[in-house]
Amino acid sequence: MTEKNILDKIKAECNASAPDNFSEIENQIKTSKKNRRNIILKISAAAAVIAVPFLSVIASQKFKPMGPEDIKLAEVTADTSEYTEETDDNSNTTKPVSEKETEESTVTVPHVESQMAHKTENGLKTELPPQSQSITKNQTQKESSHNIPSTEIIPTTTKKVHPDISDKPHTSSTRKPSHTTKPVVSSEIESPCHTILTTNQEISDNHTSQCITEHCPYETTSAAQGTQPCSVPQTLPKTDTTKECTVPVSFTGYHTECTTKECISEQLLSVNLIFAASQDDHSGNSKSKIYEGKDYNYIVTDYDLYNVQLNYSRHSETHSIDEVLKKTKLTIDDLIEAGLNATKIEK
Amino acid sequence: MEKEELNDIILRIQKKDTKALEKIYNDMKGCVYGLAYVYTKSHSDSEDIVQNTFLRVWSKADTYKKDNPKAWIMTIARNLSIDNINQGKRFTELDENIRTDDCYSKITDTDMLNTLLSTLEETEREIVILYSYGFSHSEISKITLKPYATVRWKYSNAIKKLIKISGGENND
Repeated sequence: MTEKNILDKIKAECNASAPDNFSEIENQIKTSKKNRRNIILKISAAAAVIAVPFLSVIASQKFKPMGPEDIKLAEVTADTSEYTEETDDNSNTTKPVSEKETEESTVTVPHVESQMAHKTENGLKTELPPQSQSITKNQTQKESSHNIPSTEIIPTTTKKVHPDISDKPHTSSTRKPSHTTKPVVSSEIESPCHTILTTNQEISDNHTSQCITEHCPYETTSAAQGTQPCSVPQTLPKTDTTKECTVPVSFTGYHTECTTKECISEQLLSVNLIFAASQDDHSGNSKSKIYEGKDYNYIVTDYDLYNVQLNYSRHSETHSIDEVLKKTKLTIDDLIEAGLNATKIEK
Repeated sequence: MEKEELNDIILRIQKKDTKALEKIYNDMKGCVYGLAYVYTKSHSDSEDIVQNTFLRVWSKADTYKKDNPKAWIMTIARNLSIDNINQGKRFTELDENIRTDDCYSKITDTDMLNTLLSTLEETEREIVILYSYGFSHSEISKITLKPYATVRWKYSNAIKKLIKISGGENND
């Protein structure tokens, strides 16, 4: 055979052996189009599956009104005495609204421009006024009813709340970025610290953001360590040199030790504002142990002035308060109330 | 099929014209099959590679740069063949298992291909297959990523072996 014959024969054999099934290829092309469409649909469906349960759970959450049994939670707050002591001198600066309130003391006067939540021992005051607020604690919880005694918000507080900072001009301060994205890991979460509002100047109606939240430089392992002074980082304005640290949040203590209603409520009432809404992810971590077997949707675990940590997902994601509110379609009030209800869970 | 015509076909494929794909499939399926066959030594695997090659042409037509459409397609086929080997899917022998599949009738007519498999090295086989389909040495060099001189030398050796085995005389 010549070279040409060989090459022709090879070519002929290849052509003869080659499959003649273009229809299969055509079918596969059509199938792949469908698959692509299906994949898109599946992705959309999966996204809906992820989103809908959470939203529906949140939406279906019924917020119980506060009852006397809830008010008792405040009794376990360990640090109220310090608050009281410090705020006694300033009691005139706050005006209780509730007529039934007997002893009221200003706990703190936290404020954040747009997304603030405030707490009292008998409940969480959830208004988010543009002005500074002072929150009072009703220490006669037994008199409380479902209607949470109102906490007075005085936009024109003029007296100093904390002696150390009384003379400081109350200027709007730069917020320090906080731990919004940190996972709730006990050893990593810094203790939020919030400023007692400096109130030696008049606060006009449009006066905003008089409080500074920052993290206490010290670490604590228990929620009941009381009020401690919090040194101010050098990056902060001098006007904020002295701050009052509420009970530093110890997630370690909370997650590993705080499994009772009292402990939880103590945490709630002693720390700043961080909300965490959570569902049991069955991950076996200490946090889920608190909720194990309970019918809950979310729980306020902790909060600070600037952040809400919403651990609703299986991955303990944290979210900003804006994101939480946007996702849940809830108000701050709703979250706080839900958190208080969540404290009813007792292991 | 001329190069310009092939380029037009690729452009039509880019616009998702299945008729264009069918045209290029009918024109090049033998070549693709032959190249796949010298790698996989399996008719069924080779058919799969043919199918996958043209599916790849269909899906990757957007990435084709106007160069040499045939060489592009053969490069795809070669890569898929090598992938197939790496995945351990090839049949090393044309054994009875292969002969019982649907390709049996075709296999009986592949004397020269079988001679190719048994006589030549892998590189020589693919060079001969490509050359038989009209690829120049330089094109084969690009497709196989072998130096031009190596392609020429290997082709020369391969064709001599085949002529000798077939009992013919070398016209070169």
